[in-house]
Amino acid sequence: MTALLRFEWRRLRSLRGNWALLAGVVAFALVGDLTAAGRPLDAEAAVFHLVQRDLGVRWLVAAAIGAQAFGHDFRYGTIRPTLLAFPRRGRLLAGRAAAAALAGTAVALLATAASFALLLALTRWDAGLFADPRLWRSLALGAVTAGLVAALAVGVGALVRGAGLAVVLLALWAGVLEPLAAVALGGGAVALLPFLSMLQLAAYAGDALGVGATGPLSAAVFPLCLAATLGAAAAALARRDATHP
Amino acid sequence: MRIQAQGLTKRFGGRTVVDDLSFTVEPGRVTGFLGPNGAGKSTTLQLMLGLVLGGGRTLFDGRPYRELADPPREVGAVLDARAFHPRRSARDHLRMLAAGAGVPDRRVGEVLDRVGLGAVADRPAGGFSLGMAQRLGLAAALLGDPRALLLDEPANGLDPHGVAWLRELLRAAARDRAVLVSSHLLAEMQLLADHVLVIGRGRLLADAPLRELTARSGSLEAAYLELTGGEVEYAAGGP
Repeated sequence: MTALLRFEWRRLRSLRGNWALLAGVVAFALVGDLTAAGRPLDAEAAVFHLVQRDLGVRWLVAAAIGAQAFGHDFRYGTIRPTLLAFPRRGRLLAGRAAAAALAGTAVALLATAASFALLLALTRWDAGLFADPRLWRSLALGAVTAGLVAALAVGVGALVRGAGLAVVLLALWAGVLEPLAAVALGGGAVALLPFLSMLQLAAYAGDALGVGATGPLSAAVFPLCLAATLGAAAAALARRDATHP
Repeated sequence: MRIQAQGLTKRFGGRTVVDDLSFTVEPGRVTGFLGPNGAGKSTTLQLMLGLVLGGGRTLFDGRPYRELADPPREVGAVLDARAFHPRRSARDHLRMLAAGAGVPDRRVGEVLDRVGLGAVADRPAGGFSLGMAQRLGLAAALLGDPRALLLDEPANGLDPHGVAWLRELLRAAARDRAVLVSSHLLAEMQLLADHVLVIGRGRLLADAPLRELTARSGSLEAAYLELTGGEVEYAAGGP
């Protein structure tokens, strides 16, 4: 597994596009922070600026990082050298999901750290800011959810054999289908929708959407969805030939 | 390393592309793998390495490829010259593979120099000619200093100097390794191979030492045309 993580790290860092994604997500956060200049910064405002405001963008970048694992392999034919190096396909998928989760979490943490530093410089921050446990909980969940989205994107990329299509599908799922389902089914359904339940959980008061805080069961929804997707991807990888279009 | 292919079979839809193919590739010699277009050579090589799924099995010193302890250090393969991300440099492509194989980075520089790509190693591989891409594929196959080499049309795109260089490289590699090379270049194969496998429509037509085949028919080309006369799937019309 260590060799696979090293392989993935080399793969990710050797493409300029990935550094551009990282720079983009940090720049997006910093530009957003400028709107908070001169205002008071308490824990709730900090969570809004550091987590809620940019969560969608961070998920999108995390999805792009995860989806390229198999998406690029099938597009450019590198699936063959990859499978020659790691012929156990299930292990390859699991390792790539873990590596993408680490990368997605790291990207979110870096953006959060840069944003936090700028906010502290620009705003009048509350003396009790750092003592609020809900701030740290939201910061941690914001980063972890980006990692989970990256891992999910690994599975979707393997299923559809394309990075772009995988990102588009995930964006539609999180940005269109789930909000429509929430409207159609009522606010209570949010707790059962993977992306919206994560959004709720990462919010300061556990309720970013104003439909009531989610319960502990919501925390299981996304991991279950992730497990199902990776299971389907493992089955597809196991029975498909390693060819590319 | 001895490579034993046993009953390899692959069907695409209702069509049998590889049909119960069995042969052995012995170490210490170059085994040429010949056949007309569409005979199933590339599919056979991919079956052997578990890249396409089908019937039969291939054992590398008694173990299937996926059960080898350290595959890139035991078997090197070139199946598709352009199997790299076009925006990644040749050096980064190899560093990535080296990281996966547990091979130190300095080995990357060694194999790049060995295949003649040292001067262009930091350029994006997408700009490489077919010959340069073949050299990069060979560098990847040699990275782990493996005990067996499986190469699919490695001379494609190489200029005459490159073909001669490849011949010397493979002859040297075969002193202590098993080397299986598919090719359409019969004159080149006559200079390179010690043993020849010929397939047609996925079936084994010949499995014999080169000397035996050429003694029987006069040249490898004559033997090949004799063997595959009825097996050509994509025959052209007259001139």
